[in-house]
Amino acid sequence: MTRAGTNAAAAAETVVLVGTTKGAFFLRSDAERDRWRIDGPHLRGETVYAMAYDGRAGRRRIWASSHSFHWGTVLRMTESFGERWTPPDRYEVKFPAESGLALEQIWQIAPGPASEPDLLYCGVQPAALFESRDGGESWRPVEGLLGHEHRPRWQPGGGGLCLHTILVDPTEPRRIAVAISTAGVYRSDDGGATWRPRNSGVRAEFLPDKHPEFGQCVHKVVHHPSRPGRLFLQNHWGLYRSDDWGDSWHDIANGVPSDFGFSMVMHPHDPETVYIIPLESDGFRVVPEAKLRVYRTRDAGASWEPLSRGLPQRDAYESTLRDALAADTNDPAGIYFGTRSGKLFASRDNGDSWRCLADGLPPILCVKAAVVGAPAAA
Amino acid sequence: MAVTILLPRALLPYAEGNAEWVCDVSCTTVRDALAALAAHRPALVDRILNERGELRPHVNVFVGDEDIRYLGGLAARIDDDATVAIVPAVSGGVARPRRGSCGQARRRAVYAPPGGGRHVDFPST
Repeated sequence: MTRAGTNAAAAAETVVLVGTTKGAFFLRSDAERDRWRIDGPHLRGETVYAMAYDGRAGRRRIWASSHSFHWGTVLRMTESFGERWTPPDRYEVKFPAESGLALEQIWQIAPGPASEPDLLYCGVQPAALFESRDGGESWRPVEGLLGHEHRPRWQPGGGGLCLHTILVDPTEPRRIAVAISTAGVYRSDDGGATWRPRNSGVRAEFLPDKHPEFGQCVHKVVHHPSRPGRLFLQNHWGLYRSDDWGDSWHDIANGVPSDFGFSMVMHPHDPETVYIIPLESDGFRVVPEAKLRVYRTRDAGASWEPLSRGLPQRDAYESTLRDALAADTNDPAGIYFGTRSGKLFASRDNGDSWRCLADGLPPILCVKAAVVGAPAAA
Repeated sequence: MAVTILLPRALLPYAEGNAEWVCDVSCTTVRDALAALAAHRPALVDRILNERGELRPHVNVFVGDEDIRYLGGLAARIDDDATVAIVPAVSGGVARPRRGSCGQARRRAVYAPPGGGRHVDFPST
C-alpha cells in the first residue's frame, strides 16, 4: 500500500461527502486514495439531500441540508468533520410571508466564487434561489427569480418543483445559471435581478410543444471553471451542450445506450471531459442491460465511452440520482458515485477502473468530493 | 390557571430541556398559545409551524385527548387551563438521544468504532 509523501500537495486530504436518506457519511483519505476512513452517520436519521465543501478563505466547512420528516429542513455546518455542527437554532432559509410559499427541501448548496468567500447560494423546493452574503449566517431569496412571471406556470417534476443546479461564472460573478425541474434553465447576467429562460434546442418530450421557451425537465447542468460558458446538460431524455452560456443547445447523445439519466459531472482539469450514468428510461430507471456503467466523453460530447472495469456487469439494477456523481481535484482525478441501493463506488484513475468503497449505506442522495488543504477552486 | 404546552423529546433542545411550558398570557386558541410560545422560544415553533404559519404535515397537536384537526385546526378554542400537547406523527421517526438530552445522534454507530472510523482498503488494480 502506498502512502502519500510529506510535501504540501500530498498532505492534502481527499474527502468524499455522502448524503443519504438516514444521515451523512464522510470518507477521508490521502492523495493516493488507497485507504479510506469512513465515518457516520452524522445528522442521524435525517435526510441529507445536499452537501457542499467550502474551502475558500482558508475555511474547512462542510455544509449539509438536514431534513427531518417531522420538523422541516435546516442548513447545518461543521468545521470539524462532524464533531460539532452549528446548532440548528432558527430556520434561516425560509420564504418571506408575503410570498405565500413554505420551504420543503434544500436541494443544492453552492459556494460562490473564490473572490467572494462570504457568498453562498442554495437551491430549494419550491423552486427558488437563496443567497447568503455573510458566510451562511443569514439568507434571503433572490427576488428576481422568486417573483418571476413564469413561476405560476412552472410544474413540479417527480421529485417536486426544485431548483437543483447553480452555476456561477467565476470570471463574471454577476452571471448565474440555475436549473429547475420542470422549468428548465434560467440565467441572470445582472446578479439575480432579472432572469431569462435559456432552453433553445432542449426537448420537452412530455409536452405537446416539444420545444417550449421553458418547461423542460432538466436533470443536471455542469460546466468547467476554465471554460464557464460551455455547459453540458443531462435532460429528462436528452444530452446537450451549449457553447454560449445556454443561449443555444445542441444534442450530444452520440453513442450512449440511453440519453435518459440524472447524474453528470465535469472532469476537474479537462473542460472536454464529462461523466454521466445513463438510465434505461423514465419508466424503468435502472442502468441499461442491468450493467453498471459510467460513460465518459473526452471530446466534449462528440463521442462517449463506457467505463465498466470493476463495476458489476450483471444483475445490477442500480440507479443514481442527480447529485450522486462527483469528482475530486486530484490528478489523476477521483470520480465517485453512489446508488439508490446504498453502494458507493470510486475511481482514482479518471474513471478507468472502479472499486466499491461501501455497500449497505442508506439510499444515497448526493455525493461531493473535495481536496482539503488545497487551494479553493475558482 | 394557565395553558400548558407539552413538548416531545425531540424538541427539548430548543426548550432548554423543559418538557412543558406554561403560557404566561391569556390564550383563547391553539394559535394564540403557539404565538406566545414563539415569543419565548422561536426556534421551537420554527419546527412546529412553517413560515406560512401552518402546522407541519407530520406534527400533531392535541388539546386534551383530541387532535386539533377535529377541532378546527390552529383556530381550535382552548380553555385557560387547557393542556396542549405537541406530538410527532407516527408516520416517521427520530433518532433516540443518548443520556438524556439534546437529541444528539449517537456518533459511534455503523462506521465509527473507537479510534474514529473503520478502514477500507482500495486494492491496487
